[in-house]
Amino acid sequence: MSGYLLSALQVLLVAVGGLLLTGVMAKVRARAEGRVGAPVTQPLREVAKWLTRESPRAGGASVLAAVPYVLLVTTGLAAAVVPLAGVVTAGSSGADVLIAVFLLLTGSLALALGGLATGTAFGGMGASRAMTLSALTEPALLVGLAALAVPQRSMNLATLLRHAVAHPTGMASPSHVLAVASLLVVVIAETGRLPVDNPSTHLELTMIHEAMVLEYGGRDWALLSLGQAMRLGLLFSLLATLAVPWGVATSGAALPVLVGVVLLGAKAAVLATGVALIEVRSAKLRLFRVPELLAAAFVLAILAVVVGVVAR
Amino acid sequence: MTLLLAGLALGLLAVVLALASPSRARVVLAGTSGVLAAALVGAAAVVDLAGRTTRTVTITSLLPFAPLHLRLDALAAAVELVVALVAIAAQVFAVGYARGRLRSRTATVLQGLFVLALLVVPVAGDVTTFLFAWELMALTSLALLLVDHERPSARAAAVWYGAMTQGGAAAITLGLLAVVRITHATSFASMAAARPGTGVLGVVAFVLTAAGFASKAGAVPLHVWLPRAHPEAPTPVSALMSGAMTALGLYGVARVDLGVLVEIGRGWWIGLLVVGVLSALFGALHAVTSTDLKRLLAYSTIDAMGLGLAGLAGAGVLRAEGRPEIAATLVVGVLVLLLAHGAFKALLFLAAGVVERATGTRDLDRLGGLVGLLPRTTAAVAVAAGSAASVPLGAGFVGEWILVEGFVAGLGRTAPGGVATALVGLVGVALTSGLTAVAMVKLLGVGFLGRARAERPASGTGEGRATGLALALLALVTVGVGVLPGPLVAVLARAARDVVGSASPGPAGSITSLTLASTATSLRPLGLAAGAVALVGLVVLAARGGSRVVRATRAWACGRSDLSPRMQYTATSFAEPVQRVFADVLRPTVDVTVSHEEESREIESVLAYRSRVDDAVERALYDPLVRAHDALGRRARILANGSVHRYLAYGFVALLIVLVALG
Repeated sequence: MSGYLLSALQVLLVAVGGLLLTGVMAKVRARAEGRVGAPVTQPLREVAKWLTRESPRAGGASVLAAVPYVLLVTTGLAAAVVPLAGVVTAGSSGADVLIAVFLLLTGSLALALGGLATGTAFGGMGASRAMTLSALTEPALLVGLAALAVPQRSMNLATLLRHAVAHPTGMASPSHVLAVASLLVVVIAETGRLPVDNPSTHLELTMIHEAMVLEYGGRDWALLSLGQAMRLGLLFSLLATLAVPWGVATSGAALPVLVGVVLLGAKAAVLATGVALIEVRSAKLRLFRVPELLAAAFVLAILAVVVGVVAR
Repeated sequence: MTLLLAGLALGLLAVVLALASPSRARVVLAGTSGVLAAALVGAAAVVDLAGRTTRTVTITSLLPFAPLHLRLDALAAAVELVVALVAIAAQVFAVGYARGRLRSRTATVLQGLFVLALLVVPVAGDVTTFLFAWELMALTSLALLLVDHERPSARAAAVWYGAMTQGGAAAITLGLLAVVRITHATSFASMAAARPGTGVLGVVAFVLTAAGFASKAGAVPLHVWLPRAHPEAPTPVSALMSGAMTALGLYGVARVDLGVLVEIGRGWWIGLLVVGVLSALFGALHAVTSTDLKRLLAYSTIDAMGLGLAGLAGAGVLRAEGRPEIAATLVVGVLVLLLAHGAFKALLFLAAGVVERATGTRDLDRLGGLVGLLPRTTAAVAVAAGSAASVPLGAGFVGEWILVEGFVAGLGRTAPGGVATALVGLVGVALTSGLTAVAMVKLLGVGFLGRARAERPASGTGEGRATGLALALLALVTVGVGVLPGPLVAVLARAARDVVGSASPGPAGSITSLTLASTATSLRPLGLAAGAVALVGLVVLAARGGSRVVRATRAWACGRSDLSPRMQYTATSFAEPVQRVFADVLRPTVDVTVSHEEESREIESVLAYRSRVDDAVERALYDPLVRAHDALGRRARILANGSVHRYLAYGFVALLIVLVALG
């Protein structure tokens, strides 16, 4: 299977998988709270429905129209470059994890600019809060990834994963565990889940992420929520792959890639279930308590680097 | 070398033209000559980088005291690229922008001299030429700061700048004299060949030169002049100071400290690394909280230069630990960062000038909605802000990427000092990159998007042709370096190898890719761009399946209908969460004044909220210094009571002392 095909497959996986993971999390939450909940395919149906609706646009119309595209393209690009199901993606020698990090950051910038473009109080509030948190998650993310890179001295995910698949015992190292713990906090913050942000809130004043995207509707909203789901799918898959790299296809052959896809889905679903259970059991933190959580993740990441360097 | 000399001659011609030509043609003639000068010097740098020879030339009769010694090697050429780019853009811009006093003969001559000095500094081959050009650069920029001498803030900035830049120049002079003393050589080439030792004099030379150069690059705590001087200078001069002059500060560190003082202990380098990382953090935090457009940019310069300084210091440590190939990677990262920063920061400063002229203010709290008034400027600012925030396919990302990879490589099998260095550098880059993104979103989102926060003067002028050309050039370079960094890095790698004395090839680049052997990774920006285009096509196709109806509507206002522009988030409110999280570092002063209605204490009539973030370093370190200085000045007044007899006596005593000393 050629690298381009695998990349295209990963983009598709992340897009559909992201929507399904959102559904899975809603379902798990519902069950844990004693409700039946909507079917896991509900987000897919909603996006399909919104696509056919007209788009109401208030202020900053041209920016509002562009933001979903930027979000989709940057997230899709990151999903194409980074190895998830198999390491032989298109241009895998350039599968540097920093590219994925900064592509995701670009998506956040676009969302924040969209929030400010509307010229409303809520848009600005959401943009301000989201950017503050993004500035605080960035260090934990970069240092956490650097900790994973220490054994191979490479930020190239293809190199990293090849080594990890060949030496599965590395997963039990304290450095790996610390780094994954810090990245878990980062992923929760970046995807706007509890305890950092409540994705299902309807009270504007407590919103972080939702406040930025209040002004989107119809087709714009469909594309935007697809982008957000892709972001979630990408972050979850990336964390799952880095934490437990079993099953990642190291060759381009069809069968290993197929196994890789199935295992990736399973790992991401387990992670999503875990995060959903965390959501059920935790209340939203006060906004100015969140930096403490993120600082803790940052410290964990630094510890992971130090432990990794010392243990080597 | 002919190109270089022709360029410098044209630079001189620009000064002569500014002196001699009639006032109507002055700006255009001098500007054209200056642009050509910078273009030729830039071409000389490109030719030099593409070839493999280092050329020198000595001009004996130009200056009275010493021959002018020029030397164009790879490092000089790499920095010359940055200076030439910024000089071209700033001067093209100035042709369209200059009004009033900026068109005067004095200002035009000074600007020509400033550009000339900037162009000479990197190619200065010996100490006298270097110090001459350095001092010329400092003095002309100081005088240009006073073009708007009627504004008290400009005068205050000039005092700060004058004191700091002369102090820095004195430190550099003494430091270079110490180097001359150790090596018995005056040209940089023979100094480097002598490999001066680590004696006391070597340490003194390192500390003095590093302090002097770092102060030019705005390193904390020697940065206090920068956020005053850069905003107060006329716009083209701001761009030159921020994009090119600060880069020369780092050039000095690379040339003298990294290139000559090879044997210095790594402890000193670790100290410089910490200074760099702290500067970057300090600059990034203040950039987030600043509300003056140009002040924000000035603090973001401190941020970028701090990262550059950290990169150079990291290179110093890693070379001392026997890892010259990683050191070379870091130096390449710094050189790319300098070029990227030159392009985006010059663009942003020039755009700030356009904004100020169009709206009459630089206060972000009063701006907003400029995208309607200045659409092309907004687009250029978006490109530059993206590059500053390290968006992939921008030039800034390439520099930041190489720096991070260099530090990660340093985490490999090196001695503890190297690992600590790499960790500190990595944490520094990681902490600043997020904050820089916040500052850039604020700049673009609050300043240019949203709705106008204040009435605009009806006489506001829009975008001119020359100013637009300058912005377009810089935006093009920003994207060009981001999409095709390979060829640039391939030639910059040579400069880096020269500086750190590495034999291994280090970073390699081709048209499609950029490969770093030290972390076994590569960047394929052209492939990324192709992928982005393909994805855009895909999304557009997919979206076609949906509804294409767009309806104009009102924004959500919690059911109210009167959503005024005053209700938008301002620059201050946007930065408030960051200000609160980092309150211990920023130490903001917040005043809330509540006044009540006369009838009842229960009813509040006016609620005033004021928040101010002063420079905590300035308050802690410089205020006592300035106070002590003032007190000393007041005391010294009793020496000068106005009596002529007393002054004659002073003269007599002084003469006696001189005679005794000489006798």
